[in-house]
Amino acid sequence: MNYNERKKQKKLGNTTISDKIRDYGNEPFFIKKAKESKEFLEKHGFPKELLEKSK
Amino acid sequence: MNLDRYEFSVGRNFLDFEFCSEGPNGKIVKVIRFTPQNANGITYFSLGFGDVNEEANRIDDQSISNNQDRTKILATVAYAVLEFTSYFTDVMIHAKGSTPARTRLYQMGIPPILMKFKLYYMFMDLSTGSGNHLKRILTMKLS
Repeated sequence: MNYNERKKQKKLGNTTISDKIRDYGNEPFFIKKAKESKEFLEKHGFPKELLEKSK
Repeated sequence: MNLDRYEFSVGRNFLDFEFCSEGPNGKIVKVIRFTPQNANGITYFSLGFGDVNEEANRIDDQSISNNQDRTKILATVAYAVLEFTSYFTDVMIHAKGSTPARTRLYQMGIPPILMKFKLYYMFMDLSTGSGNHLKRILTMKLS
C-alpha cells in the first residue's frame, strides 16, 4: 500500500475507516429493507422496555 | 474477548461496513449497512446485510455463498454492531433476515456474542415472512 492509499485510511481502534467504502444509502436493497422495517415497526411498535430505557 | 471474525472497514459516515468472506467458494465481499429510519416519531437504525454482486452491480441477500464461515460472519456482524454503537451511542437497531430461517439464524448466532459485551439496545424481529402479526421479538437490554 503506497502513501496515498495509506493516507485515505485511518484506524479507529481495530477498525479501518476507508474512503474506498462507498455510501450504500441509495442502494435499492437497503432502501427496501429500511422501508419494510419502518412499516413493521409502525404496525407493531417498538418493545416497551427499550423505549422506557431510552427515556 | 476475541472471537474469530473478519476484519472490516467502515466508510467515513460510519454507516457502511465491508468485509471479505474467504472460503471454498473464493472471496466474497459483504456489506453491513445501518440505515437511519424513523417510525412513529422514533429514530432508529435498520440493519441490512448482503453480498456485493459485482456483476449485477447490486446487493444480494438471497445468495448462499457457502464459504463454510457462517459463525465467523455472524461474529463479524456482531462486532460491526458493537463498533457502530460505540460511535452512535444510545440507539436502537432493528434487524430482520430476508427469510424466517435467516432471522432465526441471526437470533441464534448474534445475541450470544453481543451478550458477552455491554450493549444497551438491540432487538431482533422474529416475525414470520407473512408479517401479518408479530410472532416474537427478542429484546436485549444489557447494562
